Amino acid sequence: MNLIDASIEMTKGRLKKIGENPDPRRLRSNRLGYEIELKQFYEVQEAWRQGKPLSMGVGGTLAKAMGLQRVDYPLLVGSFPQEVPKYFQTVRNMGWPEHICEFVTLGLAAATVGDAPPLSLLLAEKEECTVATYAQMALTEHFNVPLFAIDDPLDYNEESIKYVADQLGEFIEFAERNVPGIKYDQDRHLELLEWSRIGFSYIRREWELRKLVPLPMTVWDSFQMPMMPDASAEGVKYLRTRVEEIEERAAKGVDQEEKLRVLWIWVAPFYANFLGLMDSKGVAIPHAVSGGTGWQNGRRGAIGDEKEFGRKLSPLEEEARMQMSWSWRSRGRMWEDEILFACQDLKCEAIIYFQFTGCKLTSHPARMVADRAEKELGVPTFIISGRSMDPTSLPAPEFESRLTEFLDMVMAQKGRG
Amino acid sequence: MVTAGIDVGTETTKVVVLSNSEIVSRHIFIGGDEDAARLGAKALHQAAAKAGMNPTDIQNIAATGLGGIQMPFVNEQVPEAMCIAKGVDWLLPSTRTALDLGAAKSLAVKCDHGKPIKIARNDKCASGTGIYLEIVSKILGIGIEEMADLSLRSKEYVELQSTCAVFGESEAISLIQMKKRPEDIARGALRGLAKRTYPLLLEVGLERDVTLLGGVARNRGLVIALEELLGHNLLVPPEPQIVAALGAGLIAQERMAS
Repeated sequence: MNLIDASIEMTKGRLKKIGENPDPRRLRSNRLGYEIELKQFYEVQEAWRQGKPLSMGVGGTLAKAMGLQRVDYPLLVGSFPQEVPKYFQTVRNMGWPEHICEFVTLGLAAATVGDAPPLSLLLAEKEECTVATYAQMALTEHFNVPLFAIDDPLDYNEESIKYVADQLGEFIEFAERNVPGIKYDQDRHLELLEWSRIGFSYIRREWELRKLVPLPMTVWDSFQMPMMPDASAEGVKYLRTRVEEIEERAAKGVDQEEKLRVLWIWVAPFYANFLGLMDSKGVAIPHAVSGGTGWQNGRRGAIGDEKEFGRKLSPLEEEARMQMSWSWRSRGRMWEDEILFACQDLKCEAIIYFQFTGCKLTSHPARMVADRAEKELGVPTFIISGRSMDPTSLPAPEFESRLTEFLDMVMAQKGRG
Repeated sequence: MVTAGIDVGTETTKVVVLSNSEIVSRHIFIGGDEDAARLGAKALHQAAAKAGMNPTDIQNIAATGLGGIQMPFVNEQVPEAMCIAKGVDWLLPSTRTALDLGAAKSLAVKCDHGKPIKIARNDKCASGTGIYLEIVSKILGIGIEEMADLSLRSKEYVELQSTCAVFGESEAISLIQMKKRPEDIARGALRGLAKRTYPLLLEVGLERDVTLLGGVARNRGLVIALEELLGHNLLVPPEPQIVAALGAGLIAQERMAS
């Protein structure tokens, strides 16, 4: 299965459904988000057909400024659960470890069987997620393409950002030297960063709206906080329209009782109807932590933020800052602090911590997060482990039953059962 | 108002039939290789027969445990902790902490007058469940029931340190080779299981009275091992296996009444 063609058809189908039979509870602006996704899939399809340089690991704005088309294998695979058994078999056939992060292994499998476009260049990070680093090395060998590895320090500060930015400069020279068709355009980069800066201002506005009780959007719309989908006028238009629509809903008032609000961490068993379950029980999810919460709520500088280090960052420093502020890639304390802050700031009354099999960075701190949440905030945490696409270890009925058990218990304690 | 609660476990299916909040029949069905729906239907049929009823006389049926969702005749699937809290409160209302030890799981529930307020569960590691006792009893060549009696005759302290059922098996074999006596090994195994379930009690915030439930609660040796660890007596209902099914049946009564 060509995952790009299939993604295009799937997105067209979603747009058709929204056009013909829109769900009145969902945000109308989702249409704009899907249109951007469709445009991006077409761009990858076109680049694949024409043999233009494709890459993984390079930040979106930097990739565009270099004339690179960015591909995200894990995201491609995640939309097609029916292909998962085939990719698992590929993983076994190749002798790769099966019980590591599914996103990484299955993405790797999809690329090696030719379901996803081949790469021309890889940017790897020597950081805490060693699984991703090794997968990028395996892909480099498979496609026989250049690899540039960046050394990411653990600490997030001005000095380490400069250190990474210098390496990104070396990466650009390396890419221009080794891959035909690549040419870095700083003016284009500045333009893209400016679109991102404006986009992030809307993302922060949305964070403020997520503090409202009841939450003025459904769990399907709130579960994934939009990141900067596309550094472009269309991307900014989508984020602005979305925020304005949520503000409009909040002003009108929400006709739905909110019995409980929970913070979700971080992926989920996507084969289970957990969002439907939460919705039916009147449980709101104002946020699902994925590691980029710091940009969303302003605790970390997003693109264009001059306050964080008291000066304007260079374009490559901006890229380095974004790359380094993913909280899961740093010390565990940063991940914990981010979760606790989000929980308190968004008035969450419980935490659902999905311990994602194979993700050592987010699984190991689960108990520490739970203990701190209980001691510091008086918030209970439900920890459950499983995979996001393979239901073998945690069948959907079992997951839903145990989630119900926890939610009912917390609601009963609050007298809202 | 006639209701029933069904608790589908890994090895047994338990049914309790209630009429106006009084138990009229209970049945424990030892499952074979059939699916949950067939096992549940058979167990329900037999429990109803014991009460002199047909299954169709039962007005509301609630299920808990594994596989309840697969039973078409069940009106509602109720989470296990809610059933345990409800059932134990009906039987032993002074209970504040319930520990349910089954064949394939251990579940601690902090209770407040029939409601669960905190849960800690182990259903991933066999060393903290009844399966561990099965493994050791097989090595000793005895049944689980005998293991309890045997352990009470222990005179020498033997420690099984392993936190993994697989390694625990080889540890027990090594102890036999070291000429340790079966009663001491049995006692060590029960003490080891008690130690591994103890953190679950701490996690929910241990508060007296503590009641032990589930099939493993029938093992007197384990009760003693846990009491030694806790430093006080445990409560054990006369039929510790049926508590979750009873809770499901009581919840079915409440739902009907409301």
